[in-house]
Amino acid sequence: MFDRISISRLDGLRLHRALPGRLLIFLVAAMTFLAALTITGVYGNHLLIKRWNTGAASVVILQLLDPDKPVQNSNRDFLGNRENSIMAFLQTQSDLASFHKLSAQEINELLSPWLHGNAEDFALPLPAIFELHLKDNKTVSANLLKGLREIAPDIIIEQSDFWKQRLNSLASSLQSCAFFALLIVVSVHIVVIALTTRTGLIACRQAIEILHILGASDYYIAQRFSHRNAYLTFIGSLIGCILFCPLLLYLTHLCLPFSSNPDWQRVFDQSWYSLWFAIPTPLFALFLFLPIFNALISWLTTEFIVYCWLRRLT
Amino acid sequence: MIQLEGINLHFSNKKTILEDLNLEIPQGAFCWLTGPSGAGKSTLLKMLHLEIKPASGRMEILGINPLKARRNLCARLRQRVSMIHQDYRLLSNLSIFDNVALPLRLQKIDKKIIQSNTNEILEWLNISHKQKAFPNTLSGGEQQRVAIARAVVHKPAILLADEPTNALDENQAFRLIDLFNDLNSIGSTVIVATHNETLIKNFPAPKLTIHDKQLWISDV
Ligand SMILES: Nc1ncnc2c1ncn2[C@@H]1O[C@H](COP(=O)(O)OP(=O)(O)OP(=O)(O)O)[C@@H](O)[C@H]1O
Ligand SMILES: [Mg+2]
Repeated sequence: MFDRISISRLDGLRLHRALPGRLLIFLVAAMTFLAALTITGVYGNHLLIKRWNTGAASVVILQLLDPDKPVQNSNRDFLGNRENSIMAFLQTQSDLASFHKLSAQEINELLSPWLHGNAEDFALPLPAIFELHLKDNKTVSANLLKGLREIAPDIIIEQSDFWKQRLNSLASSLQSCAFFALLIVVSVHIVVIALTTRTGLIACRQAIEILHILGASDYYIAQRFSHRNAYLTFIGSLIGCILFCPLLLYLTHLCLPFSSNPDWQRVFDQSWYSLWFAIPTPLFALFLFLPIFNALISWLTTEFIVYCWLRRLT
Repeated sequence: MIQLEGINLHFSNKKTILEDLNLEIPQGAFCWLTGPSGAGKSTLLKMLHLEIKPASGRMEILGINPLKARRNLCARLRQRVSMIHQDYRLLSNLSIFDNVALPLRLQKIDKKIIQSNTNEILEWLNISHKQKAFPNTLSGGEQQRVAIARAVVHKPAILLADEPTNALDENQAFRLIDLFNDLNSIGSTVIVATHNETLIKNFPAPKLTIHDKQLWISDV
């Protein structure tokens, strides 16, 4: 390794002049910041949607009047009364994560604020109320609706799942926008590296020609450029990631109330450094991975450009 | 071993330099290359150094056909064929020592050997006192000796010298031919392009002459 460095410095390719470090580091840091922002946005969006999907949006409430009446359907035979038939039907539905019939007690609790007393005292005919929880990413299917209506045409179905659809489509379009933003950042990165490399090659042209006729391989010359660009990119990305950290902490702080962490209030109230531990692990890993990924892009781009350029030498 | 068969060479402006050239030089030979100015001596040497490709024909150098070989193999072949250019081609941002050591460094040779071999050749050519200087601070003759040192420091299998004595005095020129003979005696093929007739008279060897796009071979 030591030998290699000493050879590199003594081959006449003055890459610290030809590939200007500071400018590249600044550009890469800015682009990394942008990429990190986009990725964080995508991740936050993804988390929120997930919370919504598993939370409010996936609950469906069924109200069934006269649960004790027999089912009136001439096409098919149903066993038992309307309530039992509905229960039996729900059991067969694979889209449901769970369902639950509210007990008299629960209905009472629900209604008492409205009735100023115990519901049973009013001798009202109480409906049977079912609370259904849909599985993630599932909506109320036509099949489910049809089955319920066959048993009880007058059943009342309250669903918030069309919100879920709207929200999910909004989320996926945001996701695509973010994807395009990332694509643009990566393309700009490649273009910047390609241009820098070309400028460097032109600046070193004479030295490269002499090295070439002295028997330096394309591999040697290419790796001289690509190692430097990868190294500068790594440093730039690292700086970009470090500069992004305060913003990441702030965004984590904003997103905490929506997190699945039951302890969020405590973290929220604590000092800022406890937020470090609230940053989602995948996001954290991504920021470690980003400098390596960027360096790899630079390395590949530089190798490609240098190899193409060297083709002009016989 | 150098073999050329039916070589035609022209530049992009279509002006033919060499036409239907056939040549065979056995390994370990020494020969002169002469011809009027502009005849194509430098061009022929550059072609043998794989810097210029002929338009057609077949060539084989040290058992390798550089027109068909992969680039990697050509690079390794270049390390065994060295050339002293008419314009020296020194790296202006490297010291004399580093310029001369470059072929050894590219071959990833041990540092100590690089140090001793480079010092030895610099001393032999009387430029070791300038080893820390940079090429543009040297006189023409000194630069030429640096170019010579760089070409012979790794004892190449083939040495192509393009007017290596034109900036040297007679004494130095004779000493230089001694150096080439030494190299020749350990098995290197040496081709020296020159206008210097006294040199040729003092060191008789087969003479290649380029005249009118053709190559003529004569024994001196
Ligand atoms: N890169 C080039 N493009 C076009 N023509 C060239 C090029 N290099 C050389 N020539 C032409 O090729 C011819 C041979 O040039 P070359 O340098 O081989 O001559 P030479 O025999 O070495 O002459 P001298 O003794 O003056 O060094 C010249 O007419 C020159 O103009
Ligand atoms: Mg010439």
